[in-house]
Amino acid sequence: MTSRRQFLRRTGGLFGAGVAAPLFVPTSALGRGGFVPPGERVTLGFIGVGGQGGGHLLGGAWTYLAGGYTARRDVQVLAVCDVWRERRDQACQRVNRHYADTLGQDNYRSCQACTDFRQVLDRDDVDAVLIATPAHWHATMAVMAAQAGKDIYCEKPTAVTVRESRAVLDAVHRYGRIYQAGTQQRSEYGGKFRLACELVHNGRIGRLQEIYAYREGGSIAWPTRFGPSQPVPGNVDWDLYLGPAPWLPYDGNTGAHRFDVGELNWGQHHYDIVQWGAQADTTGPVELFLHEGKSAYRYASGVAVYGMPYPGERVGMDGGVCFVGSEGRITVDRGDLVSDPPHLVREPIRPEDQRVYHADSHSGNFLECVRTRKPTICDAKVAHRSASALLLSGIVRVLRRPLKWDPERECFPDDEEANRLLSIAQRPPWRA
Amino acid sequence: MKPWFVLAVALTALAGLLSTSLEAAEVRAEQPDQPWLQVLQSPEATLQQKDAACSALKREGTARSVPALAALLRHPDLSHSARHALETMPFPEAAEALRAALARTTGLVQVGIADSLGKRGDKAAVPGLAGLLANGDTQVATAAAAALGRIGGPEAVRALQQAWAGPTQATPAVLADSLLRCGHGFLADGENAAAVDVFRTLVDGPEAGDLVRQAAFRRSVSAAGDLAPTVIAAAMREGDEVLQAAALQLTQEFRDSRMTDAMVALLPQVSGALQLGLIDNLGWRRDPAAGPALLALARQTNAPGRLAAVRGLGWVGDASAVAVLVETAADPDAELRKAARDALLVLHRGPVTQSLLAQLETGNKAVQAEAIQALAGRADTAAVPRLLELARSSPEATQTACFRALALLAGEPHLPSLARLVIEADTAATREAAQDALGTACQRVEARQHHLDVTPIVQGIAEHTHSPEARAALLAVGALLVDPQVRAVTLTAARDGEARVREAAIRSMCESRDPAFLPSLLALARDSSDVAYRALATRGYVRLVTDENASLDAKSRLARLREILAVAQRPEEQRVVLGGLAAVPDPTALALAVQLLEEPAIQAEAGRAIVQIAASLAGTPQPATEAALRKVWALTADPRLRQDIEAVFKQMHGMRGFLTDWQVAGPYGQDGKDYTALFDIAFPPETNRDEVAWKSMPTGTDPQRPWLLDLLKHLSGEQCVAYLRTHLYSEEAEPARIEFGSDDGLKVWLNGQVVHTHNTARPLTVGSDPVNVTLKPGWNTLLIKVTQNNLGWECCARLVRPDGSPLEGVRVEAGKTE
Repeated sequence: MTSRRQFLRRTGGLFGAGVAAPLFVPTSALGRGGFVPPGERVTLGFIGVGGQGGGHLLGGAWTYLAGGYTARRDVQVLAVCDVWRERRDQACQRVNRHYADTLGQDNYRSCQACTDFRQVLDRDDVDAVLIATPAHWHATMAVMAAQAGKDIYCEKPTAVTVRESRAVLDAVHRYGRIYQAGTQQRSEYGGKFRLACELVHNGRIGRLQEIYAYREGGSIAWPTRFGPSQPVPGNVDWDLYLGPAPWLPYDGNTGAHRFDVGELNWGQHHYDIVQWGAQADTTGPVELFLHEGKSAYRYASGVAVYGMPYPGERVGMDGGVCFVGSEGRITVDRGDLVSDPPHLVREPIRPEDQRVYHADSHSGNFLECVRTRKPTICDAKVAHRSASALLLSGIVRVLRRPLKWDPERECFPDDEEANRLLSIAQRPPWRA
Repeated sequence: MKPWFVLAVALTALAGLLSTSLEAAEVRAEQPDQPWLQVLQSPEATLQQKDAACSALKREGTARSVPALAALLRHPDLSHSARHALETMPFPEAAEALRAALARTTGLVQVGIADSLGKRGDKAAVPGLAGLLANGDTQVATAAAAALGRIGGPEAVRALQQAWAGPTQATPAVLADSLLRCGHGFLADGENAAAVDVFRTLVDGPEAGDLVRQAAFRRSVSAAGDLAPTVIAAAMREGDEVLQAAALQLTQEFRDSRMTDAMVALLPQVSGALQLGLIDNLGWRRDPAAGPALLALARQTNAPGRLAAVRGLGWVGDASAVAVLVETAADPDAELRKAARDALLVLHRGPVTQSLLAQLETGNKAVQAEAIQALAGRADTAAVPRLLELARSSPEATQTACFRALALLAGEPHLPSLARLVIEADTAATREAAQDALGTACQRVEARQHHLDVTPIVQGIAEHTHSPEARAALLAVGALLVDPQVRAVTLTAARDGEARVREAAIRSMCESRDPAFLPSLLALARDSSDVAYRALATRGYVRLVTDENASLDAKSRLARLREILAVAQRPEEQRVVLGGLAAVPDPTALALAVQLLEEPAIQAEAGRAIVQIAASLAGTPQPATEAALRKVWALTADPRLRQDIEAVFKQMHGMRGFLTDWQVAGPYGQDGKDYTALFDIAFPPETNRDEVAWKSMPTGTDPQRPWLLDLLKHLSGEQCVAYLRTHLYSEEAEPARIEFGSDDGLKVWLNGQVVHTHNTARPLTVGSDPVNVTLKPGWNTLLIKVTQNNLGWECCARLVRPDGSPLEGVRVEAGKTE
């Protein structure tokens, strides 16, 4: 079940202590052009290779990883998985074609196409999985992957309920897995988000008072379950698409976010930076409320977070955040970093200033941490708290009344109505 | 699907099932779950209605609703719905119902119920779940094991350990996971001894695989409390390789200083990969207690862990590490060099600046240069006075490093000293380095403060006692600044008696980014007797006119280019003007370039300008553009230019049929309504067109997609809609196809009739939504509504015949009055 080579990688592979690399790929693959020998590559399985997963795998218009993980010389993709036959087969063919071309061996085949992700988890030679499935699957798969001894990259939202999110953190911690959330704004985009947060942490805007998150909270809701049914096409595994969601008749919609409510899809990007800037990576809101009809909350520090744009500020919509302090404000998104007054963002960070975790490549950080067993820049703790901020904001959107939250015990004290919304029953046999 | 939809379904169900009397309304107010209970109990209610009622009861259900929900637990289609409500209900009745159902169900329904009991942490369910560990159905036995793991406690552990030791259908991985969870539960309750017993079984038992052993070890370390560092160290010394790997990872996770001390003590006791891992982790932990150990390692030239130690020193070291880091930064090994340089940028404990400055006094030039580079990288302005001294007195290599650092560090108070270094430089190379530093520093300060005290530069230029070379160098610095004092002194210097100063002033004007020099440059280009100055002035003029920062519109640019063209006598200058003309995307610029095509000496440049202008106008193809391109084609034999002409023709051809003349209205939105809901809400362009303030919609904003209507760029916004309107004139009734593409949803009206709807969120695909229509004779009004979820907000429309061939003869006019 577990991958022995993962344990050995840390003590042997990384530091060259002479532990032989298992022969999970032919030694003839030791290739041309400086291709890294297979034993030193991180072996990956991709679960979900639609738009997002396909972008990670092979590159694409949106991706921050040119050529995808396949193009990285320190990676070997061993499996691709999707409930759609064409997707998995095409992805598999493209991966194998890439390796065949790179290695100059026309018949080289190392990648396997799977329908059921459990086939990927069962492979002892797969170090890590990249989960880019529909959102309602993310946490359940991540828990199962951790239990199978895999390291995990998981797309956002990393969970659709607070309890699922906690289950991921517990499983990852229980098994000492490396986990990275797909909230790449901490690593990518030229370090704009990192700089913004470091400036805030070092008091460049004075005392932090308010944060504008640009987006509201999000949650999940199941649709009508007993509508008219269409025949399930032979090229899709509908049961596996649904997974822990309630059984529904096939309706042709296998979208990644069909059960989303509010900003479940994009919100975690925003709240991840809110949490980073507020130095709240190990905690969360203490009270939630509505502000101008939008979800909002307050940390124990008194800093208020509003699920809306900063009035009149054009920067921020693209994954961004506006930090408002007693002496100025800083707004950041993927395209811009601006401040009022403008010079705030031009002042360099100094050696004695407080620093945050530094990574310039999200994929590079993940792979490095798989090798060194260090926590990633968006590890399970960070992801749990960012997802919780988003999901708790989703609950206040549903209940439309002020709520108290205990970030230590992770419950709404004396508020059973709200506590009921922290989890959803999963369809057997799936459990997070 | 939105919650309100679920609610709506349930309410629809209620309409047929509930009395609408006042009495019923009162019942609803006092007993919020009563309506849903009636749905659950109604024989007429459909599965869909009962499912919706369960959803509502998840939130609103009381203990009274439990029996009705419990009745559904065994239902193959509604068991999940009932669990959805019961799983999170805080009442003991809910747990009782689930326990009762557990004993009376099988298969997946039973699996789900076991899962719900586990999630509730229902200790009373343990006997029932324990009994299921021997169930012949693997899924049931496994679910029971998982539930017992969640519930925990001695009874659950006994059952799980029994199953672990004996035959069971539950999967071993889940059994082990459940035991780990139980152990964790003991830890949380302060029962460490019980926890350790559980973990020991798994660590020592041969049945557990590497992963479980490692996980159990991790947990047993948690149980060790204050002794955790000792346990971790012991495992690293004496454990097998799996436990060693787990222990090494744990050295990062235990953050207190005792762990650091234990790691430092362990360093000489382990070797190879473990030792390297420890060194690496000592740096990662950022605990200054590790500083001395890493410093000692960094000093050992051949130590295997030197690289990791140097990397970590930046975070854990102090000023005492400066010497070794600066020395290592000059090491021939590239990896070591980079690690040391990076470390120097973050080192911050103790008097680091003073230590770096002390390195400047060593005789080793490479070390001096590294120290200076570090001071610059650290934005260490305290070092500026000493750097200024060194820049004056040091050998060339050190001096160059000083000037590079001063360019980054010098502030406004240091500019006089820096200007003095320019003036007093004793060699040309020193003066050039000082001039570069001064120029960069001035630009940096100006960008930060939006103003700059230029006195040192102005005085330096004006002072006749200074050497002509010094004044010339300061004039070059002046070219980088936009300032009235600099402008005045430059104009004066342009008439200076000293030829070198005069020339430097003219060159400064010609290279300046100050648009106030435009009249002077025009005069110089017209009147100078020196052809070199005329050429320089022309070049400077064209550069300023076409500079994007000048914010001139196409018309103003063109007017100024005409002025300079009128005085450009030689082909050299005319070519420069043509270069500027090529950057003006305007039909008049095209016409002017066509005129110049007649001049044989500049025909090639005119041809290139025409092609460049035509390319920028390809989004709105005009006969004049085509004619100009054909003219160039006829005159040129240059294969690359011909290739470019073909590309522009292709681009223009690709634009055929795209409707690019539109008016826009919006954005429109409503609180609480997302893009899908807004799709069906009629805003003024649909209901009362007279009230709408239509504005012209910009096109051609994306040169790669000139047919694109980029609403995000023009309007911005999320969860909103916008409308686009244009008019099409056809001589007669004309069957046509309009091929739309949109990001996100799209609704189309032709002459007030909806001809297409697609409520969706998607990226734009050209022609994704073809719509067959018939244009009526005369004017037709085409109105489209585009919804916006988030990110991109775009659309495009192409008018063709129904078979896809070009449709000629239809006039398009967005601004026609209706």
